[in-house]
Amino acid sequence: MLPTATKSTPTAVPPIRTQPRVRRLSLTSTPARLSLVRLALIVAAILFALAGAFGVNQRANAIDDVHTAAGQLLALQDIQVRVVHADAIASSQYLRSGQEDPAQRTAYLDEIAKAGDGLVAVSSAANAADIEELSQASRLLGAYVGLVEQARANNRQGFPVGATYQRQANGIVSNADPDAPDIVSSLRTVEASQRDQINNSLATAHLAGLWLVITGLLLLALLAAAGFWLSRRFRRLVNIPIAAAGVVVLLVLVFGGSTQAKSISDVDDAVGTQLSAADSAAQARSAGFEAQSQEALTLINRGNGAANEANWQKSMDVATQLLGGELGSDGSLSTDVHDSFNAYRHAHVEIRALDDGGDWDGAVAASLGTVDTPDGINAVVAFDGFTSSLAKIVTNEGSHASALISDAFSPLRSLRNIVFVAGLVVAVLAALGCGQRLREYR
Amino acid sequence: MIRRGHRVAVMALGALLATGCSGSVRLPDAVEGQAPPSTDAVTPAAPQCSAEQKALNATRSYAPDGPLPSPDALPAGSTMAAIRARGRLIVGVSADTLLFGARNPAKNDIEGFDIDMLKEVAKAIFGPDGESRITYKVITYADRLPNLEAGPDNGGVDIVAHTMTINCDRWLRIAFSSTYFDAGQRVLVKKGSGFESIDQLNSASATVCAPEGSTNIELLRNDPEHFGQLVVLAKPDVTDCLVAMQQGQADGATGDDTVLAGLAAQDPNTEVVGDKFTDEPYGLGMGKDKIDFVKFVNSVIEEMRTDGRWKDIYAKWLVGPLTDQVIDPPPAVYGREP
Repeated sequence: MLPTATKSTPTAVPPIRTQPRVRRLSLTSTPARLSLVRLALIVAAILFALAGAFGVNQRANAIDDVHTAAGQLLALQDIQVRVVHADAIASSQYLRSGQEDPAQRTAYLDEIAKAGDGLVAVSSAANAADIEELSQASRLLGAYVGLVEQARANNRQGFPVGATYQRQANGIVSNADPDAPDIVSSLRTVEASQRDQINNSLATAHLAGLWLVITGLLLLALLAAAGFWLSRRFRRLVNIPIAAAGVVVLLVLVFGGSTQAKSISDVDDAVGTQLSAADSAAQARSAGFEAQSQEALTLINRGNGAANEANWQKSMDVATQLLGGELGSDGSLSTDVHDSFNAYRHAHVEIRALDDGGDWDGAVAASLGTVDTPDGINAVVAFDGFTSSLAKIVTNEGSHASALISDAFSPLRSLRNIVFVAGLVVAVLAALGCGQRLREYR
Repeated sequence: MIRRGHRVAVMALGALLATGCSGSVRLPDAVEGQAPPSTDAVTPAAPQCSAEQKALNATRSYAPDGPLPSPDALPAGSTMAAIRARGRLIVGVSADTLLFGARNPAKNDIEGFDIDMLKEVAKAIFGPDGESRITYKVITYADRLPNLEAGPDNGGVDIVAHTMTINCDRWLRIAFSSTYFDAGQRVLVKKGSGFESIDQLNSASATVCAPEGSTNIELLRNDPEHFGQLVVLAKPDVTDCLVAMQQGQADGATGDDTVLAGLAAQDPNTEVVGDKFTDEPYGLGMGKDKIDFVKFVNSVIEEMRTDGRWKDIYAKWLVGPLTDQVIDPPPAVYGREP
């Protein structure tokens, strides 16, 4: 059992009452130093309470920002995929002239409607610059739908001008001209701002963890120094309130530090693994639909399709990079995805060979999947195989990432309150610890 | 003991500091695709006729060698015999020039004046089932000459029917049949606009659309005396010009009357007005050294001129959209020597 400060012998108390004013003013006197130590400890404890809680709160807010931006990014990519999917349907169905597949027409209308709804939803949580881009995307979507209907109307009457409308419509979805606005470019601009937001918030979350650690270590050092000085000056083994304060700070540091470290590590994992996979899969899927649309346009534009074939290759290059890189590097992609992707690529080469060899009807039939290619591949089945697998990755990994980030966020709110209360408790204990000694001088 | 505990705690905190604050994870930027390198080789400048050559009539073709042989009696070793032996006539056509060469989505066939000309050539080689022996290759305006220069054995074609104007410079690279159609540049306007000619559009500083790279747009740009006040709108293709008119970006569009008639047929609110202000004699294109084939095709066209088939084809496609009644076929001009 350690001796307590309240049982100290009165002989150790200096005769402060004989010359109180002079001794209180002198910084070299023990009571004055004791008062200073008490003040320093209380200030440091309050600083710990405020800065530590601030840091934890900042990390929580930054993680919340990552969560919001990740949600926005996934929502934007969903809109992008829906628009390019709608365009792929419209371009393919153009090849059927008046013989549209009613199910495909319904799918087209559904994608356009959901893209429109999505634009409204993401706009509600967007900043001013992003809203400008999203408004542009919204206006372009309206214009796109109008052009597709013009293309259909002309196509049904057998007017070749319909192909020009279809080409214009495709140019509104995506084009290579930096001066001509398009929906995909607008969405990608906002997506890029969400990527920046995610990365910046993640960096902020990492740095915010320092507040608790630095102020905690500073307070711990001060408590240790004060405890050491008190034990030496008053010949006590330990000052219980100060020691208790040290234990509280230590516990908060260990518990808070590990909680903070786990939360940031979970968010790092979620962003670096699950969100990254969902992001890559969404990009690959979008690139796939863009390629499918370009394939149809090579057949619609016939002799003038060289530019569309170049666009097809560009889109497939995006998908190839993603399947081989971000998505394929860890081997998590099933071989089915690679197989169906490679089958579609091969089918496209065959479709081009048919068209270039003069068998346009055969090329169209193979592209629409109504017949297999000469090598026995159904282009549509192969294409659907790879895009539907990617869709599952987007859904599963996206929701997993969102849940992980959300789970990482919740304990930090409690930790913030704990740190604040602990800081105040430490301030009280420090005041008590020094106050016991000070009272011995009165 | 307590101090040792503190040291351990501080070390533990140091580790936490390291794991908790070292931010290296980043969401990568979006992946950018790489377009394939352009395969457009640097094309040598197209050969051009001298002033002396240009002074001659460019529509002169090779005169037929007597009457048209029957499909069963094609001269041995001739180009026609080789095509018959191959079983296919490979042709280069347009698929979006309504009335001359355009896909009919209802029938899924390419049809038009140019296509019917080719069907007659195929029948002369293969007999009555000649139509089914045609392999269509849809090509762009720019690909017409290269496909003939390459020839059917190297991915090219035997013959091109693609609203192609006969001129001296092209004769340096390919051979033409006699003129099978006399076209000319005119202007398409909106009905009720009050414009009756390109001159009126010019006086009103109206906006006129033409395909970029076409001889039509060059004429507007290079003749300030007649077209200097026009606002010229360049579009990638002539059908883009119809879209530009429908979208209110242009008051008119210019091009060959044949092509404009095809545009007018797609939009009843437009009409072709004014006189031809250029002369565009169309010929069927063939390989430069296929003189026997050119003579054979000229025989086919000659028969069509006289037996009424040319007028039948004209009536089928162009009476209504282009003229009110059937006109006479353009006369053949011969006299070219190999």
